[in-house]
Amino acid sequence: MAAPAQLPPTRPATLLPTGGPAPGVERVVSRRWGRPQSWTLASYVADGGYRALKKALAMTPAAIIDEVKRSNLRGRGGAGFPTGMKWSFIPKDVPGSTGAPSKPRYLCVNGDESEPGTFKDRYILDNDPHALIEGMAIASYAIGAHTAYVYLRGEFKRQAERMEAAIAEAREHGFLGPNVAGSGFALEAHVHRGAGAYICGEETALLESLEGKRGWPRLKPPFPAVVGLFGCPTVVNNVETLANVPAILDRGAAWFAGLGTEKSGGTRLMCVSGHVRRPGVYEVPMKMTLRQLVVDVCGGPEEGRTIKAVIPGGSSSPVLAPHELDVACEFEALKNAGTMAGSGGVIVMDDTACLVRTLWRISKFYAEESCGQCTPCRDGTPWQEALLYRMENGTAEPGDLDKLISVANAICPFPPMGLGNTICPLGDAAALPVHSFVQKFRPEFEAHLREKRCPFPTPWGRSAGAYGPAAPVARGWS
Amino acid sequence: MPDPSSPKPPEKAPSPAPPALVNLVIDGRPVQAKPGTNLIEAANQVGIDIPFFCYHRRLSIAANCRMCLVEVSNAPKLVPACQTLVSEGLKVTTGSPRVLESHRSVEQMLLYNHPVDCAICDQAGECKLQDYYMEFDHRPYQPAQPRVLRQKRKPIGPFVMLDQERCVLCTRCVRFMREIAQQPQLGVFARGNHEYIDTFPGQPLDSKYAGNTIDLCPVGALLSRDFRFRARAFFLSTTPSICAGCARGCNTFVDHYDGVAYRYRPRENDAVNQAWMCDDGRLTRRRLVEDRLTRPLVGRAGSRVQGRSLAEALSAAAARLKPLSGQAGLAALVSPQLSVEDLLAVCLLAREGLGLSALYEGGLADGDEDALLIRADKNPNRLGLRWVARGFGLALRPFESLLGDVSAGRVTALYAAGVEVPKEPQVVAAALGPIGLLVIQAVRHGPLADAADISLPAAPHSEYDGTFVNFEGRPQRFQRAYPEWDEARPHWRLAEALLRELGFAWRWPSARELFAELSPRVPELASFDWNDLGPGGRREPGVAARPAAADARPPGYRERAVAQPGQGKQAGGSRG
Repeated sequence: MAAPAQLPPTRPATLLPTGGPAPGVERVVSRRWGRPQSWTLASYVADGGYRALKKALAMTPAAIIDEVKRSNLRGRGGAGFPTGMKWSFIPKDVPGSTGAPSKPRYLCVNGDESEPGTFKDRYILDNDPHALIEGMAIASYAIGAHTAYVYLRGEFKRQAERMEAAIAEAREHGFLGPNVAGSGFALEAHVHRGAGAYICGEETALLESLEGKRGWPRLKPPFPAVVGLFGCPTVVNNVETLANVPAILDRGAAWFAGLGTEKSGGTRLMCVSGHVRRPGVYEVPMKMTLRQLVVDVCGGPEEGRTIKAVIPGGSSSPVLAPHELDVACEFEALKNAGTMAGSGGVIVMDDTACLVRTLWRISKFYAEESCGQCTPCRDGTPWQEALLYRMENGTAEPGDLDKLISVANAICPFPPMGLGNTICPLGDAAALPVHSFVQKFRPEFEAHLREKRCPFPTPWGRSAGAYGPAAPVARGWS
Repeated sequence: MPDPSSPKPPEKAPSPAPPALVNLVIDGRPVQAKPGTNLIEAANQVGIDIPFFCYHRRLSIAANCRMCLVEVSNAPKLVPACQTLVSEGLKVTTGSPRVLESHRSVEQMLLYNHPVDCAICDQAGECKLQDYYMEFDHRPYQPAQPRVLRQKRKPIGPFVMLDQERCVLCTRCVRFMREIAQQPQLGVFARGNHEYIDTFPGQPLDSKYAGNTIDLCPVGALLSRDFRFRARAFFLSTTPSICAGCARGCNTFVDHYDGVAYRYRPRENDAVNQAWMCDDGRLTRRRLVEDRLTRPLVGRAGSRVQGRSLAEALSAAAARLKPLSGQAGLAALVSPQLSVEDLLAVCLLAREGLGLSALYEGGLADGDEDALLIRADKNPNRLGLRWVARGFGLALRPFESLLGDVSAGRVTALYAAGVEVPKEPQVVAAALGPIGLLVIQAVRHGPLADAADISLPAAPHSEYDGTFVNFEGRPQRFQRAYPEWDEARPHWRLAEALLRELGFAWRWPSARELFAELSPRVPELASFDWNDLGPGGRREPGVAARPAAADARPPGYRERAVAQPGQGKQAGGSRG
């Protein structure tokens, strides 16, 4: 039982205790969080670490991929793509795992955790970097990569230092380097910190950034599994995805698959923030519903308030109204509910939150973070932001709500037909919240237009209409 | 056209069967395309224009403008036609309401931060943003409040002015500099809505090929400093021509209005210049308009007789040349800036009228050279001069020997057709001082024209029909863009007049008849069809000729009022 008191004071994570609200749930990724010095190799090995790597190195790469496929592990970065299948897309006819490789392969770890509302990977990097290293080593062996890059977001300075220290420690003890765990398999790992761009969390923009170029997403196809980093076959996996891999190898695919639902194995880290009493990172079973998570586990909103809206998977996922919360925190279920599992960033808003203001802030984020490569996103996201700003500020005109919808439609038509008109999903991420907020909370938007002011008190107690004239004050990026 | 003097390559064995064509349907029309063709090109085959900003068939695919989104049968969402390749059985829809709405939205997005200063924009009239607005958008201008402000006039290089506000960030210029010029001097800076094209600190856009980015720019963001504010593009007429800047012979269009050439644009020719030309070549436009000699000069500076007409000057020249004909002191200097037709007439004059057996070879001095287009030989027709001189049995002597012969007194009278010389003209003019008679034909004023006893005004190649032979031995036709200035005449016409004054009966109504009559003496020209105007060389009023120029627009597309036969879309023909 990892009580909050045992955690270091700088990391106020509230962790779901084993056997908590959903009895019989095992913690996989967060198993060791909060233990003293959990980030050291000694602590990791004492808890049975690197056992899975030795087991994996005795298997064939194909057997490992098969094991991961059977575990139903799905990518935790947002799209939920089956991990084993992603690994199997690496071309097999290129000599690599045997003999001299004609083209090297690469493993990239996506630790550019920038989605507003998501903060799970930093806990893994902080608390259990060796689980990630072990997962990386297993994955690299499975796809025949001899170099792995850990791409961390620029703000993760401490996590990058801890990761580098862990890599050095693992190399010293032979879990990385020219002869991994005595098997003859060579693997070098490098940590790379980004420069603070959200878009570099998109896998091809991440590769461009790693290559030293401008972080612009590439055109697909070809996909990274064929033409990736430096033009070579590459697998890009999320931190949480890889941190799950050692447990799969250690305890078996069947055990892991049994933890989850039919199509997604294992447990999920959910990052709950906003108007709940106990925000934090929780490892939850896939079957748990959002209402259970928000109300039972996190304590719900404060006394006397009610939940108004919940964003289930980071700011880019469509919002859910309170009556829609009885949906499992799982990829398929959330997809069927018209939203997406995303990266597990649950943002809860109670009845004091102004959703126009919330949506304005979300849109401002995407306007700021658009890479500027393709037209609809480059010019559409600031347009959305400007229209929402006018609504919140009481300077909007009657047609602005329709205009907002038409701008969002230009970026990503709604309902989505295979998603939007842009090169990468950032455009979709910017447009889908607009569509869903307006669709589900239209009266609130109309009230803003009708009253020509924001009817809500802002968090700092002033009416939004009073925070400044329309022109230049709040239009600069802040 | 291969060099006629070189032996024909042996017949190759028949190549293996070409890959099967892919069948697809675009807007209900069956199309057969080669595998690997993208949808824009495939649609083009049946005359369906898909709009685009960033696509260019000679550059890599960027797919960032999102203007070419179309509906296809194998994807639920709209796909960019530039990036999507043809596949068997594909059904493409380019005009559905969904597609048109997407065109309209992209247009609106691009206009969101655009200054819409068309009234002072050089690109107005040939701007894709304008054309597509008229074709698809037609909605009120809804600019950002306030607009994102950027640099409005930034001289980023000796040839190019940048207006970042008009830019639609298609990155064609960036890709051109990186992929074709291989001098990556342009980049995209900042992020999102604040993004702009610029040069890197301390590195101006000083590539010799920077001018192509102006043609590639679909809007008025990159502007020629030579052309800026000088003419409205929609008033200009366009004539296929050849650049006379070097021996490459880049195919060009001369854009002109009221007898003045305002700019050169490259004309697409895969065999010679693809779709590009160099800035030096573009600047040779100035030779067509600056310091022109348009009336004859009779008498040397100081003792000049004013007001002589061309006819009087010609008879005066003939009267002074006639007694020297066949004498030892008479010589002729011929410039490789002249066209083949000029040279045929001038060599005839030298051989039969003046009784010479050798010519001195003039021409500009060699300059720099590179692997893409620029040749060291700065004359457009040196090979043509050698062919024609050989055909007429005239030996060619280097220019250096002329000055020696003059100072040694072996040359006392000189007839010069074209005064381009490989040395400083002042030095040459001084060295030619002792000559008793100097008769020249010159396009422009200069030290030699002023030093001559009789200077006859010649026309530059934009004012008559003719042929240049480039360094590979490829004769290429250029066409008359506008009438000769004042009394200037083509060199061949001056030579013909001198021959007549000397008592010969040669008379040609036009360069075509001249070529037909005299070119049989030059074996290398035997296989050249004078009526072959080269790719894009045919002009049909009101109808576009293909292939396109570097800007991916068909030449003279502004005048395109009538659709090409067999083309589907009748309206809005201004796309390319």
